[in-house]
Amino acid sequence: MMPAVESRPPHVAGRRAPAGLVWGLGLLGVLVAISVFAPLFAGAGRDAVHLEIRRLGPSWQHWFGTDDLGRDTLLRVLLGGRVSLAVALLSTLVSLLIGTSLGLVAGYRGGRVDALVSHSTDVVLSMPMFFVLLVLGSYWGAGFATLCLVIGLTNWMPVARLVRAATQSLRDRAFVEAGRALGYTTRRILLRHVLPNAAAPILVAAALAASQAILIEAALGFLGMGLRPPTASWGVMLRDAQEHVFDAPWVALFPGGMLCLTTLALQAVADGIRDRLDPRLRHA
Amino acid sequence: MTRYALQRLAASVPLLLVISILCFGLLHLAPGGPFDRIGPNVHPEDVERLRRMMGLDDPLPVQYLKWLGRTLRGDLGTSLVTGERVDTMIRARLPATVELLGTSLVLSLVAGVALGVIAALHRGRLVDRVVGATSVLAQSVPVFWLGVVAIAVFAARLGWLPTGGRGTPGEKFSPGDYLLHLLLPVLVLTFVQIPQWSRTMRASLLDVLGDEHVRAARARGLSEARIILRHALPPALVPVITLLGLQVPVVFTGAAITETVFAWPGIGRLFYEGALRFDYWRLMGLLLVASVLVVGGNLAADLTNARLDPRIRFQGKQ
Repeated sequence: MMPAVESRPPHVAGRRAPAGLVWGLGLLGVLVAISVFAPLFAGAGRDAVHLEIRRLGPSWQHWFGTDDLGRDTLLRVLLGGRVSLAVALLSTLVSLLIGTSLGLVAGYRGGRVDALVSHSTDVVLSMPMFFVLLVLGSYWGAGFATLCLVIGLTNWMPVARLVRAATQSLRDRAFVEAGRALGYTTRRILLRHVLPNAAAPILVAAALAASQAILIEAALGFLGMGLRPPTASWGVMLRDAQEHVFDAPWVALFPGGMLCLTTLALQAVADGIRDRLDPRLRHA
Repeated sequence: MTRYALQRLAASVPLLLVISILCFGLLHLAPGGPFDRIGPNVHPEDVERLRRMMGLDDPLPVQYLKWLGRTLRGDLGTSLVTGERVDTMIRARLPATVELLGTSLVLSLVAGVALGVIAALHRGRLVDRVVGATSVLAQSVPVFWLGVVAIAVFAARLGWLPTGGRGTPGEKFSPGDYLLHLLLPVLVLTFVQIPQWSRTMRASLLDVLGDEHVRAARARGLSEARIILRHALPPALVPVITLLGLQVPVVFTGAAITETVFAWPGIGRLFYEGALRFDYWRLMGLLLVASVLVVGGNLAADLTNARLDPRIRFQGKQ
């Protein structure tokens, strides 16, 4: 009898997923679920103005209180989550698309192509990005699709770098060489063999890009250069709330709290995956 | 070392040029212009005359080259909105920004590095976990939200501190009043910036502590304090310095947010107001200052690192 062969290398065997990854994904799932089903809680006449109940503190009827137009803050936070998360998702997809394709090609081809892509990435990274975002936001931030595009186009560089590094380390591995020997097209090798094996760093990059995108959307909305009221994105709500810190501070508290929870969850997911890749960094 | 520095310096000139072209293109990519909101009472012919006077009817490459020529002679042009010289505007607002951002940057750096070292030396123990958990929390707090909440608590509810501004309006400048206004923004900004330093410092020190030269120092029987201060800390600071070089311009451009929250009359507000009104030359001037900070920050970080870690210095010579 042959002894049973341990299929996984010993350092991976029996290791559980990092706690951060578990609760990060859980929290993210809850936030997404709440946002997806928000209109169900809302019922008819959602987000309506009720001037007779302006600026009420939190109560049983209105858990998070009401804002200066008598709108229910809880409801607006939930509806705002839909907007903020949708912007994050779409702009992250844009960043992933650009960053992954550039990173794959640069890392795999090397040489001049790599030099061109890497230098371009460095140049874009050297631009004073938040000023650029303010300019672009003031022109195009008011539209949902253009806002996603603007954020995505200013946020792909870290993705490109991470994917490039991952591709470089995969390029000379035996299974990729086997693909070349079998005469597969570069496209097939990149998409079917390199990309799946670079999934972990891409997921890290995606989580980080998404948390960045959420913060950018909120910052632009807060400055009045993103989506415009009455859209309830968390940033737009914070802008409204800032004028009422004296008479309705709760309106500021809740959208910001949700913003924190979301970025917290995304960071935890990114850290969790990274910890698995590089256990030296682990806290516990 | 000098050669390395000169090489890097020479490489940053074309980089700045490319960035300025990109920025100029971005500004003009937008629909609209400085005369969009001029009102119905101005004759279209007058607008046309103004545009000609300001050189806005030239083709874009010509406009860019004119701007470049002026800038190289030290003239950033005049604001299309107020008619002031751009460099005067920037110089008037820069001190406010530097005071606020510089103070919080230094404070957070000192606190963050200290916390990172403590966490790394007590890896996995309670201190490490508390520092880690707090920094994860602090890292996910957007500064504008924490600012608004801090204002709601300390200014609106408790009334201890002013809500914003650099001084009480209508009163003569006094250091006490000024420090009181500076306190809340500095605390908020310091708090949100600590995690990036502490996390980087912890990871990097743990990394270096496993290096061979540290093992060699241990084998030589050096004291633990000496090993950490002389042999582990300098190379471990490299990623922190790199991050500092990257972070200075981020903080500088992010001033648009913090200065809005605390009604702080600095560079960020200047840019923000310019962006609302297509004030091209003001925006170009500020973008230039910011780009110089980005490129200069990276350069300064690389040079400092080459000093701290000899391996970087000799990389090019192999």
